[in-house]
Amino acid sequence: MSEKLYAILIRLYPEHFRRTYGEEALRLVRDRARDEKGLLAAARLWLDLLVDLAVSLPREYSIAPTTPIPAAQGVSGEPSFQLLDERSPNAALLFVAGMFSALLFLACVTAVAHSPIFPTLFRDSHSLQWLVQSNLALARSPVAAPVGEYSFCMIAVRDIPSDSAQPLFTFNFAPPGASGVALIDGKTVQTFGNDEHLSIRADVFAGDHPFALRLDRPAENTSLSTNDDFKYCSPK
Amino acid sequence: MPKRKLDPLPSAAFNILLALAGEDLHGYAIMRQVEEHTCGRVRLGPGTLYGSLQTLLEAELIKELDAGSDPEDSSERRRYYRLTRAGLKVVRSEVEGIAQILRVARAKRLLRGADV
Repeated sequence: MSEKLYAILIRLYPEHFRRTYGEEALRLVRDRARDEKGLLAAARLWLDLLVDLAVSLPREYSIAPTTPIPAAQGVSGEPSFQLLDERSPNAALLFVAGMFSALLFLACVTAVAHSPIFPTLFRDSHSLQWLVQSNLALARSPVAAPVGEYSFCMIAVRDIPSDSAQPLFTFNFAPPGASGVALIDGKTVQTFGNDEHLSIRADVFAGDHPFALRLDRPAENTSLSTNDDFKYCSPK
Repeated sequence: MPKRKLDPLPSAAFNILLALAGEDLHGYAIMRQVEEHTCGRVRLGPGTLYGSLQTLLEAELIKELDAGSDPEDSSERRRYYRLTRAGLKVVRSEVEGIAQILRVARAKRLLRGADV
């Protein structure tokens, strides 16, 4: 068992080392495994092998012979490719390397996904929820006006009439609701008072339109529904 | 090809030379000898052992003998290594250096135990 596992690990060594000492190294492991019986001895053997691997592997690569390959040494000046190794890559080694790379990639993705900077780096800039949250944060900031205001742009994919089955926006405010005014293209399209549920309807032509919602107080737990006839975009 | 360094003589290389002083040994026997004369403190792994053997071969401090048969398994042939004259000189020099250090340590009463 130890020998089989070590036979995989030994593939990590440079070609010249494997070719010269691969068999001898395997035999040494086989001899030790034969002479050192028991769980403790096996654990000690593997500790020795792993420490040895960590120490000797970098050294062997640092002194591995290198074959200088001149670039673009082809016929009539055409670029050509040459193999560095005379043998094709070993399938088992490629499998181990692939698994190791996959694990490393998974670890990196997990680390980034759980990192506190992830939402900042990877948020969807067109996400309405993000627009609402960022505007809410702005409205709460000391430099902002005392009233809450959400503003973003919308791109209508077609002309949307005010009697459309689907409202343009639907806001839900936490009790006791909010009062204010909704504007499209700078024009008031709706006023409201102490409403917990607000549906905005208006005649909108196809194209870009700035939308603003001014509230008498910053809204808590605001949520918006989406509409299939337009897309949100960041304010210009 | 970058040269392997032997100055100063690495601990593994010194232990191998010491193990080969007086008898020809194959890799596993060298490992066992080193383990024995270091009271189990040093167990050379395959990478270190054969890397060091290659270094010593390149420096001509040891030489490889024609493969001999393993008395325990006649189907397998092992490589045996022998100390060269240069290797003997190097290991003797190292041992003398250690002996000098020991003399100083004794004079300063730094050593404990009856066999020092």
